[in-house]
Amino acid sequence: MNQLNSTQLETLRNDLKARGLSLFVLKDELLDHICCLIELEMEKGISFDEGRQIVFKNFNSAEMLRNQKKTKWIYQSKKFKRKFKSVLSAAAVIMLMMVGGVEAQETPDGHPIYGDCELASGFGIRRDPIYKIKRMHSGIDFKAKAGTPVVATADGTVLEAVSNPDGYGNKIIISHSGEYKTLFGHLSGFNVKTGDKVRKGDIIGYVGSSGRSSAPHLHYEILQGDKKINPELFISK
Amino acid sequence: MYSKELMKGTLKTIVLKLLKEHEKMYGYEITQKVKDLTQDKIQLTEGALYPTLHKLESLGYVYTEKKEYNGRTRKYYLLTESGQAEATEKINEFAEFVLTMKFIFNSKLAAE
Repeated sequence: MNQLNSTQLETLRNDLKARGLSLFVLKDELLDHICCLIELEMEKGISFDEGRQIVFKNFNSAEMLRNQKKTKWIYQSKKFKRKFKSVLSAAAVIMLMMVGGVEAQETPDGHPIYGDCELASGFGIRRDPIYKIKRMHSGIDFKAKAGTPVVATADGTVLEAVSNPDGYGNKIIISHSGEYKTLFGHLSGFNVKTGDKVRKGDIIGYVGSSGRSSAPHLHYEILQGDKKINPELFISK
Repeated sequence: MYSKELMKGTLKTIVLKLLKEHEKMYGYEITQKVKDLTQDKIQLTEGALYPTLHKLESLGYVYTEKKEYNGRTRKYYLLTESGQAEATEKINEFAEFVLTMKFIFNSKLAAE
Protein backbone atom coordinates (compact mmCIF):
# COMPACT_ATOMS: atom_id res chain seq x y z
CA MET A 1 0.00 0.00 0.00
CA ASN A 2 1.27 3.42 -0.89
CA GLN A 3 0.60 5.91 1.87
CA LEU A 4 0.92 9.58 1.13
CA ASN A 5 3.18 11.55 3.43
CA SER A 6 2.42 14.87 5.05
CA THR A 7 4.21 16.91 2.37
CA GLN A 8 2.14 15.24 -0.30
CA LEU A 9 -1.01 15.86 1.72
CA GLU A 10 -0.10 19.53 1.97
CA THR A 11 0.42 19.67 -1.80
CA LEU A 12 -3.02 18.20 -2.38
CA ARG A 13 -4.60 20.50 0.17
CA ASN A 14 -3.21 23.43 -1.78
CA ASP A 15 -4.39 21.89 -5.06
CA LEU A 16 -7.94 21.80 -3.75
CA LYS A 17 -7.66 25.26 -2.29
CA ALA A 18 -6.42 26.57 -5.65
CA ARG A 19 -9.57 25.15 -7.24
CA GLY A 20 -11.75 26.89 -4.70
CA LEU A 21 -12.67 23.62 -3.04
CA SER A 22 -12.13 24.40 0.58
CA LEU A 23 -15.60 24.41 2.03
CA PHE A 24 -15.33 23.38 5.67
CA VAL A 25 -17.67 20.42 5.46
CA LEU A 26 -16.21 19.12 2.24
CA LYS A 27 -12.50 19.73 2.26
CA ASP A 28 -11.48 16.90 4.58
CA GLU A 29 -13.40 14.19 2.82
CA LEU A 30 -12.50 15.55 -0.57
CA LEU A 31 -8.84 15.45 0.37
CA ASP A 32 -9.26 11.87 1.59
CA HIS A 33 -11.03 11.01 -1.64
CA ILE A 34 -8.28 12.49 -3.82
CA CYS A 35 -5.65 10.74 -1.72
CA CYS A 36 -7.39 7.40 -2.21
CA LEU A 37 -7.55 7.95 -5.96
CA ILE A 38 -3.88 8.86 -6.15
CA GLU A 39 -2.89 5.92 -3.96
CA LEU A 40 -4.81 3.68 -6.32
CA GLU A 41 -2.86 5.09 -9.25
CA MET A 42 0.41 4.73 -7.36
CA GLU A 43 -0.32 1.07 -6.77
CA LYS A 44 0.05 0.66 -10.50
CA GLY A 45 3.66 1.69 -9.99
CA ILE A 46 3.64 5.36 -10.92
CA SER A 47 4.91 8.30 -8.92
CA PHE A 48 2.90 10.64 -6.71
CA ASP A 49 3.22 13.50 -9.18
CA GLU A 50 2.05 11.39 -12.11
CA GLY A 51 -0.83 10.05 -10.07
CA ARG A 52 -1.72 13.54 -8.98
CA GLN A 53 -1.79 14.72 -12.60
CA ILE A 54 -3.99 11.82 -13.71
CA VAL A 55 -6.42 12.23 -10.87
CA PHE A 56 -6.84 15.97 -11.29
CA LYS A 57 -7.19 15.53 -15.05
CA ASN A 58 -10.17 13.26 -14.49
CA PHE A 59 -11.46 15.29 -11.61
CA ASN A 60 -14.40 17.45 -12.53
CA SER A 61 -13.59 20.57 -10.57
CA ALA A 62 -16.37 22.57 -12.16
CA GLU A 63 -19.02 20.05 -11.14
CA MET A 64 -17.50 19.81 -7.70
CA LEU A 65 -17.53 23.57 -7.37
CA ARG A 66 -21.17 23.74 -8.36
CA ASN A 67 -22.00 21.06 -5.88
CA GLN A 68 -19.92 22.67 -3.22
CA LYS A 69 -22.31 25.59 -3.53
CA LYS A 70 -25.22 23.17 -3.22
CA THR A 71 -23.65 21.58 -0.16
CA LYS A 72 -23.06 24.97 1.32
CA TRP A 73 -26.68 25.75 0.67
CA ILE A 74 -27.83 22.49 2.28
CA TYR A 75 -25.87 23.33 5.38
CA GLN A 76 -26.96 26.93 5.44
CA SER A 77 -30.57 25.97 4.89
CA LYS A 78 -30.22 23.43 7.65
CA LYS A 79 -29.02 26.20 9.88
CA PHE A 80 -31.76 28.41 8.54
CA LYS A 81 -34.36 25.71 9.14
CA ARG A 82 -33.13 25.36 12.68
CA LYS A 83 -33.45 29.11 13.10
CA PHE A 84 -36.79 29.04 11.37
CA LYS A 85 -37.96 26.26 13.67
CA SER A 86 -37.03 28.28 16.73
CA VAL A 87 -38.76 31.34 15.29
CA LEU A 88 -41.74 29.16 14.49
CA SER A 89 -41.94 27.72 17.98
CA ALA A 90 -41.61 31.20 19.42
CA ALA A 91 -44.45 32.29 17.16
CA ALA A 92 -46.48 29.28 18.32
CA VAL A 93 -45.93 30.27 21.92
CA ILE A 94 -47.04 33.81 21.14
CA MET A 95 -50.07 32.47 19.27
CA LEU A 96 -50.93 30.28 22.23
CA MET A 97 -50.58 33.23 24.51
CA MET A 98 -52.80 35.24 22.20
CA VAL A 99 -55.41 32.48 22.02
CA GLY A 100 -55.18 32.15 25.78
CA GLY A 101 -55.35 35.91 25.89
CA VAL A 102 -58.57 35.95 23.89
CA GLU A 103 -60.09 33.71 26.49
CA ALA A 104 -58.74 35.86 29.25
CA GLN A 105 -59.45 39.08 27.41
CA GLU A 106 -62.67 39.93 25.63
CA THR A 107 -62.20 43.06 23.58
CA PRO A 108 -65.43 44.96 23.06
CA ASP A 109 -65.11 45.47 19.33
CA GLY A 110 -68.76 45.12 18.37
CA HIS A 111 -71.18 47.91 17.50
CA PRO A 112 -73.57 48.60 20.39
CA ILE A 113 -76.62 49.37 18.23
CA TYR A 114 -78.53 46.87 16.19
CA GLY A 115 -80.28 49.08 13.65
CA ASP A 116 -80.13 52.58 12.23
CA CYS A 117 -78.20 55.14 14.16
CA GLU A 118 -75.72 57.92 13.73
CA LEU A 119 -72.78 58.95 15.77
CA ALA A 120 -74.00 62.19 17.34
CA SER A 121 -71.22 63.04 19.70
CA GLY A 122 -67.68 61.80 20.00
CA PHE A 123 -65.33 61.20 22.89
CA GLY A 124 -63.49 64.03 24.55
CA ILE A 125 -63.95 67.61 25.70
CA ARG A 126 -67.15 69.08 24.31
CA ARG A 127 -69.69 71.76 25.12
CA ASP A 128 -72.21 69.95 27.27
CA PRO A 129 -75.61 70.02 25.57
CA ILE A 130 -77.43 70.43 28.88
CA TYR A 131 -75.06 72.33 31.17
CA LYS A 132 -73.80 74.41 28.20
CA ILE A 133 -70.23 74.35 29.49
CA LYS A 134 -67.09 72.63 28.28
CA ARG A 135 -67.00 69.18 29.83
CA MET A 136 -65.38 65.91 29.27
CA HIS A 137 -67.56 63.48 27.32
CA SER A 138 -66.39 60.14 28.53
CA GLY A 139 -68.14 58.06 25.89
CA ILE A 140 -69.81 58.38 22.54
CA ASP A 141 -73.44 59.09 21.70
CA PHE A 142 -75.43 57.35 19.01
CA LYS A 143 -78.61 59.02 17.91
CA ALA A 144 -81.24 56.38 17.23
CA LYS A 145 -85.00 55.94 17.44
CA ALA A 146 -86.26 55.04 20.89
CA GLY A 147 -86.65 51.29 21.12
CA THR A 148 -83.77 50.48 18.78
CA PRO A 149 -82.06 47.35 20.18
CA VAL A 150 -78.80 47.80 22.05
CA VAL A 151 -76.47 44.81 21.97
CA ALA A 152 -73.47 43.53 23.89
CA THR A 153 -70.23 44.42 22.13
CA ALA A 154 -68.38 41.39 23.51
CA ASP A 155 -69.07 38.34 25.65
CA GLY A 156 -69.39 39.18 29.31
CA THR A 157 -71.43 39.34 32.49
CA VAL A 158 -73.94 42.01 33.37
CA LEU A 159 -72.43 43.84 36.33
CA GLU A 160 -75.27 46.29 36.68
CA ALA A 161 -78.64 46.77 35.02
CA VAL A 162 -80.08 49.57 37.11
CA SER A 163 -82.22 52.65 36.89
CA ASN A 164 -80.43 55.81 37.79
CA PRO A 165 -82.75 58.79 37.40
CA ASP A 166 -79.88 61.27 37.26
CA GLY A 167 -77.06 61.01 34.86
CA TYR A 168 -77.07 57.78 32.92
CA GLY A 169 -80.72 56.89 33.50
CA ASN A 170 -81.34 53.23 32.80
CA LYS A 171 -77.82 51.95 32.74
CA ILE A 172 -76.15 48.64 31.98
CA ILE A 173 -72.56 47.84 32.77
CA ILE A 174 -71.10 44.67 31.35
CA SER A 175 -67.88 43.22 32.63
CA HIS A 176 -65.78 41.41 30.05
CA SER A 177 -63.16 38.91 31.02
CA GLY A 178 -59.92 40.80 31.27
CA GLU A 179 -59.68 44.49 31.83
CA TYR A 180 -62.63 45.89 29.88
CA LYS A 181 -66.09 47.00 30.94
CA THR A 182 -68.74 48.55 28.75
CA LEU A 183 -71.44 50.98 29.82
CA PHE A 184 -74.74 51.71 28.09
CA GLY A 185 -76.77 54.71 29.23
CA HIS A 186 -80.17 56.38 28.77
CA LEU A 187 -81.89 53.12 27.85
CA SER A 188 -85.66 52.91 27.57
CA GLY A 189 -85.70 49.33 28.82
CA PHE A 190 -83.65 46.30 29.85
CA ASN A 191 -83.48 42.90 28.27
CA VAL A 192 -81.03 41.55 30.87
CA LYS A 193 -80.64 41.69 34.60
CA THR A 194 -77.63 41.94 36.87
CA GLY A 195 -75.60 38.76 36.83
CA ASP A 196 -76.73 37.57 33.39
CA LYS A 197 -74.14 36.16 31.07
CA VAL A 198 -74.28 37.74 27.65
CA ARG A 199 -72.72 36.90 24.31
CA LYS A 200 -71.52 39.45 21.83
CA GLY A 201 -74.54 40.61 19.79
CA ASP A 202 -77.14 39.70 22.42
CA ILE A 203 -79.83 42.35 22.84
CA ILE A 204 -79.37 43.79 26.30
CA GLY A 205 -81.74 46.75 26.17
CA TYR A 206 -83.27 49.49 24.03
CA VAL A 207 -82.38 53.03 23.09
CA GLY A 208 -84.19 55.65 25.17
CA SER A 209 -83.85 59.05 26.76
CA SER A 210 -83.80 58.21 30.45
CA GLY A 211 -81.59 60.15 32.84
CA ARG A 212 -79.83 63.34 31.85
CA SER A 213 -80.81 63.27 28.21
CA SER A 214 -82.63 65.60 25.84
CA ALA A 215 -83.44 63.13 23.07
CA PRO A 216 -83.32 59.35 22.46
CA HIS A 217 -79.75 58.26 22.12
CA LEU A 218 -77.34 55.67 23.43
CA HIS A 219 -74.42 56.79 25.52
CA TYR A 220 -71.74 54.16 25.20
CA GLU A 221 -68.53 53.93 27.22
CA ILE A 222 -65.62 51.54 27.35
CA LEU A 223 -63.62 51.33 30.55
CA GLN A 224 -60.18 49.85 30.73
CA GLY A 225 -59.86 49.26 34.42
CA ASP A 226 -61.14 52.58 35.75
CA LYS A 227 -60.00 54.58 32.78
CA LYS A 228 -62.56 55.61 30.19
CA ILE A 229 -61.27 55.22 26.69
CA ASN A 230 -62.56 56.24 23.28
CA PRO A 231 -64.95 53.52 22.06
CA GLU A 232 -64.52 54.65 18.47
CA LEU A 233 -61.09 53.05 18.56
CA PHE A 234 -62.67 49.68 19.30
CA ILE A 235 -65.77 49.36 17.18
CA SER A 236 -64.83 47.25 14.20
CA LYS A 237 -68.20 45.83 13.21
CA MET B 1 -22.61 4.77 -17.89
CA TYR B 2 -26.23 5.73 -17.62
CA SER B 3 -27.84 9.08 -18.23
CA LYS B 4 -27.65 11.82 -15.65
CA GLU B 5 -31.44 11.85 -15.30
CA LEU B 6 -31.56 8.17 -14.47
CA MET B 7 -28.69 8.45 -12.01
CA LYS B 8 -30.20 11.47 -10.33
CA GLY B 9 -33.25 9.51 -9.29
CA THR B 10 -31.37 6.45 -8.08
CA LEU B 11 -28.28 7.77 -6.37
CA LYS B 12 -29.99 8.20 -3.03
CA THR B 13 -31.32 4.65 -3.17
CA ILE B 14 -27.90 3.26 -4.07
CA VAL B 15 -26.22 5.06 -1.20
CA LEU B 16 -28.88 4.04 1.31
CA LYS B 17 -28.72 0.42 0.13
CA LEU B 18 -24.94 0.28 0.54
CA LEU B 19 -25.01 1.91 3.94
CA LYS B 20 -27.67 -0.55 5.02
CA GLU B 21 -25.41 -3.46 4.13
CA HIS B 22 -22.22 -2.01 5.51
CA GLU B 23 -22.03 -0.59 8.95
CA LYS B 24 -20.11 2.47 7.87
CA MET B 25 -18.55 3.69 4.67
CA TYR B 26 -16.56 6.68 3.52
CA GLY B 27 -17.11 8.47 0.23
CA TYR B 28 -14.35 6.92 -1.81
CA GLU B 29 -15.28 3.47 -0.52
CA ILE B 30 -18.84 3.97 -1.77
CA THR B 31 -17.69 4.94 -5.26
CA GLN B 32 -15.39 1.91 -5.42
CA LYS B 33 -18.07 -0.44 -4.14
CA VAL B 34 -20.58 0.77 -6.72
CA LYS B 35 -17.97 0.52 -9.42
CA ASP B 36 -17.14 -3.06 -8.47
CA LEU B 37 -20.73 -4.20 -8.02
CA THR B 38 -21.86 -2.78 -11.36
CA GLN B 39 -18.71 -3.80 -13.21
CA ASP B 40 -17.89 -0.17 -13.97
CA LYS B 41 -21.34 0.51 -15.39
CA ILE B 42 -22.08 2.99 -12.65
CA GLN B 43 -19.25 5.30 -11.71
CA LEU B 44 -20.32 7.80 -9.12
CA THR B 45 -18.60 11.14 -9.43
CA GLU B 46 -17.46 12.99 -6.34
CA GLY B 47 -19.58 15.89 -7.48
CA ALA B 48 -22.71 13.78 -7.30
CA LEU B 49 -21.91 11.58 -4.33
CA TYR B 50 -20.94 14.09 -1.68
CA PRO B 51 -23.91 16.39 -2.13
CA THR B 52 -26.15 13.32 -1.85
CA LEU B 53 -24.43 12.27 1.37
CA HIS B 54 -24.72 15.77 2.79
CA LYS B 55 -28.33 15.95 1.80
CA LEU B 56 -29.01 12.64 3.58
CA GLU B 57 -27.20 13.98 6.59
CA SER B 58 -29.23 17.15 6.62
CA LEU B 59 -32.40 15.03 6.46
CA GLY B 60 -31.22 13.04 9.46
CA TYR B 61 -30.88 9.74 7.58
CA VAL B 62 -27.16 9.44 8.11
CA TYR B 63 -24.66 10.62 10.64
CA THR B 64 -20.90 10.82 10.40
CA GLU B 65 -17.87 9.64 12.28
CA LYS B 66 -14.46 11.11 11.72
CA LYS B 67 -11.30 9.07 12.04
CA GLU B 68 -7.71 10.04 11.57
CA TYR B 69 -6.14 8.02 8.82
CA ASN B 70 -2.49 8.59 7.88
CA GLY B 71 -2.54 12.25 8.77
CA ARG B 72 -5.81 12.97 7.03
CA THR B 73 -9.39 12.90 8.21
CA ARG B 74 -11.63 10.13 6.99
CA LYS B 75 -15.33 10.74 7.28
CA TYR B 76 -17.53 7.67 7.66
CA TYR B 77 -21.24 7.69 7.01
CA LEU B 78 -23.65 5.58 9.05
CA LEU B 79 -27.41 5.17 8.85
CA THR B 80 -29.53 6.59 11.63
CA GLU B 81 -32.68 4.81 12.76
CA SER B 82 -34.85 6.85 10.42
CA GLY B 83 -32.21 6.25 7.75
CA GLN B 84 -32.69 2.49 8.17
CA ALA B 85 -36.42 2.90 7.64
CA GLU B 86 -35.88 5.23 4.69
CA ALA B 87 -33.42 2.74 3.15
CA THR B 88 -35.93 -0.10 3.41
CA GLU B 89 -38.63 2.07 1.92
CA LYS B 90 -36.46 3.27 -0.94
CA ILE B 91 -35.18 -0.23 -1.71
CA ASN B 92 -38.72 -1.66 -1.76
CA GLU B 93 -39.99 1.20 -3.84
CA PHE B 94 -37.24 0.74 -6.37
CA ALA B 95 -37.67 -3.03 -6.57
CA GLU B 96 -41.34 -2.50 -7.25
CA PHE B 97 -40.52 0.20 -9.78
CA VAL B 98 -38.25 -2.18 -11.68
CA LEU B 99 -41.03 -4.75 -11.69
CA THR B 100 -43.53 -2.20 -12.99
CA MET B 101 -41.12 -1.10 -15.69
CA LYS B 102 -40.84 -4.74 -16.72
CA PHE B 103 -44.63 -4.87 -17.17
CA ILE B 104 -44.43 -1.89 -19.47
CA PHE B 105 -41.64 -3.34 -21.56
CA ASN B 106 -43.15 -6.80 -21.66
CA SER B 107 -46.52 -5.45 -22.74
CA LYS B 108 -44.83 -3.49 -25.46
CA LEU B 109 -43.07 -6.62 -26.63
CA ALA B 110 -46.35 -8.55 -26.50
CA ALA B 111 -48.07 -5.87 -28.58
CA GLU B 112 -45.43 -6.07 -31.22
